Amino acid sequence: MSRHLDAQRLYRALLRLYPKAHREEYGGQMLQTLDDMLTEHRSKSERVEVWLRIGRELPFNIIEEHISNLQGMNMGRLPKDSNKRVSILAGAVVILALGIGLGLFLQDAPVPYSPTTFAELQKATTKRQACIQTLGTNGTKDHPQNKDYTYIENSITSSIVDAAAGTNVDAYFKTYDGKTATGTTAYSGKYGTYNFTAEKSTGDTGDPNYFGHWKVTRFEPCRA
Amino acid sequence: MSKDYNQLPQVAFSILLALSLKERHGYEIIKQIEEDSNGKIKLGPGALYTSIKQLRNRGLILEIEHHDDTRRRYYKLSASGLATLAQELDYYENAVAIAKQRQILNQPHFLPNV
Repeated sequence: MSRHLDAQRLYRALLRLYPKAHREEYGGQMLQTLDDMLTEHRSKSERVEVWLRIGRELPFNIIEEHISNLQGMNMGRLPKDSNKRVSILAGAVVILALGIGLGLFLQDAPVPYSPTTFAELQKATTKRQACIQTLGTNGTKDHPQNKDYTYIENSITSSIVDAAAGTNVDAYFKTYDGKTATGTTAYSGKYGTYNFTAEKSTGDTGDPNYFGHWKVTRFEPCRA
Repeated sequence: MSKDYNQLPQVAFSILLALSLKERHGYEIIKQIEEDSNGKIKLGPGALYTSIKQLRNRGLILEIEHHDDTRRRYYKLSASGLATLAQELDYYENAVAIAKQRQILNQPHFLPNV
């Protein structure tokens, strides 16, 4: 998997400071991400920067994960392995202290987004059109059978597959009144704060008077 | 803005923004966040996957398999993630509008370093 065996070995050892559940769920991906970073950062100075980045975040991150883990665990199990947990936390606190000192020494706290970036965000968002208001009350909830679908509670009841903005996604629309779907090849509506246009697929085999198979051809943020 | 609006932490917002155009794996997310923030947010694997776990627990992002790349897990926005991102952008848009209205962006200490 890795061309950076020494680095992987070191990071794998550091991962042992994380709670077991987190390590098992994400440890492999954290190692893979480190491998990707080191593959792209080849010079010595770049690799030092990668390790400094890891060193700055590691103490806080380990503490955060242990607190999160303790909050989420069954309190009935706490006494069984509390000594081990206390040892790990004590170690993490020491690392945290070292990390805070190193972090303060290396850099001032950055302001994440500049006013320029805010202005760019505004520029991107002011072009949004007003949200289409054809769907009535606009209530949404999770689909009862499939969590990957969201169910739009309206006079027109639809299911739509999770989609990134701007992508075309196959969707399945079901209308209760049958009037919107019948004889219509395109339908525009609002999903959350996104306007979408759906077009009826060629060769659709659904009941044309009741429901059909549709394709989302537009999915854009809108102004509520 | 809904009454239960709760602003996301900076890293979580940045991850949603990074995933707004397409699905990405861990290092791609890190790079996109760095680009979006003009190099001001530099994440390592630890902070990234803590936020990814929290976003997954809240149902804002989904983990997906990628046929061409089985070593890495990919993530994409869920429908509620898209809605949350739009809500966050509305918040920032409003903040910028207020800042412009009060003409504070033109004051010297707010100008970006060139």
